[in-house]
Amino acid sequence: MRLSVYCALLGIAVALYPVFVVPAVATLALAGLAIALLTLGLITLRWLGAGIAAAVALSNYAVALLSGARQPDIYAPALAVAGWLLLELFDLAVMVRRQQGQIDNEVLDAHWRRLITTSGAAGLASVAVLLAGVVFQASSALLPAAAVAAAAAVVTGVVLTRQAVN
Amino acid sequence: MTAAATPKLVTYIVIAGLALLGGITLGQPELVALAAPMVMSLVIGLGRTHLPATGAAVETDVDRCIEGDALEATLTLNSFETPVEMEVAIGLSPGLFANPTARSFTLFVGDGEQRHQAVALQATRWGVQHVGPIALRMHGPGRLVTFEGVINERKTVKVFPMYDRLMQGLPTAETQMHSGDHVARSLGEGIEFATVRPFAYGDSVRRVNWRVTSRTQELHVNLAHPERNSDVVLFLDTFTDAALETRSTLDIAVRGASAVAQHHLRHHDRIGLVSFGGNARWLTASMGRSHTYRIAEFLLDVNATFSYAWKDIKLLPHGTLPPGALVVAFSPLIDERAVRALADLGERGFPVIAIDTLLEEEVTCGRGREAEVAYRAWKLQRDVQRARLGASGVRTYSGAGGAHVALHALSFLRHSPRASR
Repeated sequence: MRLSVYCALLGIAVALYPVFVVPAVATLALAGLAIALLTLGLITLRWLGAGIAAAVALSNYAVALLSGARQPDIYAPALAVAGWLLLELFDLAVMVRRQQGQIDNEVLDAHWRRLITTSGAAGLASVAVLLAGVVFQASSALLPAAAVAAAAAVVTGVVLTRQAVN
Repeated sequence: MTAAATPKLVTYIVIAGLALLGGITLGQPELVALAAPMVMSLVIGLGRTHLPATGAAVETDVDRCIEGDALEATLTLNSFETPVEMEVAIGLSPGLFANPTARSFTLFVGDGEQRHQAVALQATRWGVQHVGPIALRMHGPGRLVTFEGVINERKTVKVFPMYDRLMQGLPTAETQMHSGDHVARSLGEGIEFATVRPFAYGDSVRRVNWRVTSRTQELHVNLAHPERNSDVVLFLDTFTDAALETRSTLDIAVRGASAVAQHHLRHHDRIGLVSFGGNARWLTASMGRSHTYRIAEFLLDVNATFSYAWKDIKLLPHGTLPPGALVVAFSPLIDERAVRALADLGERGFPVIAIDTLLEEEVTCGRGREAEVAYRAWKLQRDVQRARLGASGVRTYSGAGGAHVALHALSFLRHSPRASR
């Protein structure tokens, strides 16, 4: 149950992000829909609800980006990590609540270890991207290079952490 | 093992695909960044996914027990190549019970590791019960792909019925040759006094009745009834097994047969068994401790087998029904073939006691006038069958409250029923 609560809280944060980018009725409505679908998914433990919620949240973010309020959005990598973590938490919540029998503590520990280390490394990489964005935002010519470097940092960080965990 | 994509994999592919497509078509690199963690998860997860080499086995701490006993099954799970997360569920026969949370579990088996998991079981019904097969579900890295399979590993546990102990045996018709606990009608060596007769050549001096001798001035000796054993044949009607509210007719029959067999074997009687149904089986009459085990094994395999084939007692070989044996039949009196066979036994001169294992009070009448008429007709039909059996010399007793109630009542009969000839 605790996992579902974490998942719901993170879901609300991720879904409401486009509203902070563009405070409009359309983005608020879409965010509300995404939260409702995620809640439905958590209640029924169906991936369909979570999947549609993710698609709606993605569309909402695209709508917010198209309005051109924040160009480029340097928080996008952090949002990506949060979105990925949300889906992983949902998967874990479904696993725990669907299983009728006992779950060995070692299994849950392994999942938590993987989630914390992977999202931690990805989070650090996204902070690096954010800093790169802040530094190079003035010079638009250097921005693509900074984004590639940041993406490489994310990849390297995650791969190394995964290897360390396994 | 069959591999299947999880809903998580489908969701990741769809969301990552949408984000990439949106990023390219709308010219928004932020959407591509959003897809990046999911794409990486897919690449890393699927790249490392392969069919795990695993094994599973089951063992039980006992292979024989009595109804109500607790036993323990131990599952041994192996992973030979990679660490794997296993969801395990164990199949159990209906006669075995395990807490639902205990019979399925998820655990982590490391590379080359062997894990043991104990499952507490309880034997709830007699019979040959199985622990197994074992269903396994394993997840690949990132839980993107699952591998499911059933390992046909089974362990057999023989659960013997818990029977009601009879305080007194059934009245025997005729005694046999071997020594036992029944007082024979014939005269011979024994404890039970029978009569006094004049001394004859060969009589033991220890048997001289001195009081009668002094009174009559002629040597007289005491005669006694010898203690002999008897033959009891248990006849189980296995054509049908009607499930009632509390227990099934076959269940009542097996428990009753166990009780009678155990009691008479303790008193040195010979016990024979006939399972008369779709599959006719028999056990010739014998006695002793080893026969106790044979009977227990026989009763475990008793089950109702449906058959259209007409069967009568000619099917049974000679020796299955020893002359003078008391036949105790357990039958729901549903199948015409069993009723005919019982009547036939009665007409052949066997003393037959039939215990009706169908508890009529547990058979409820349906709703509506037609159902009421049908119910009354069914009851009349059963009365006719009982009367028919009575005419053949078969005494029928109701097994209401369990066979042991009828057997307890029967044990107070002074004489065994004699068939009308």
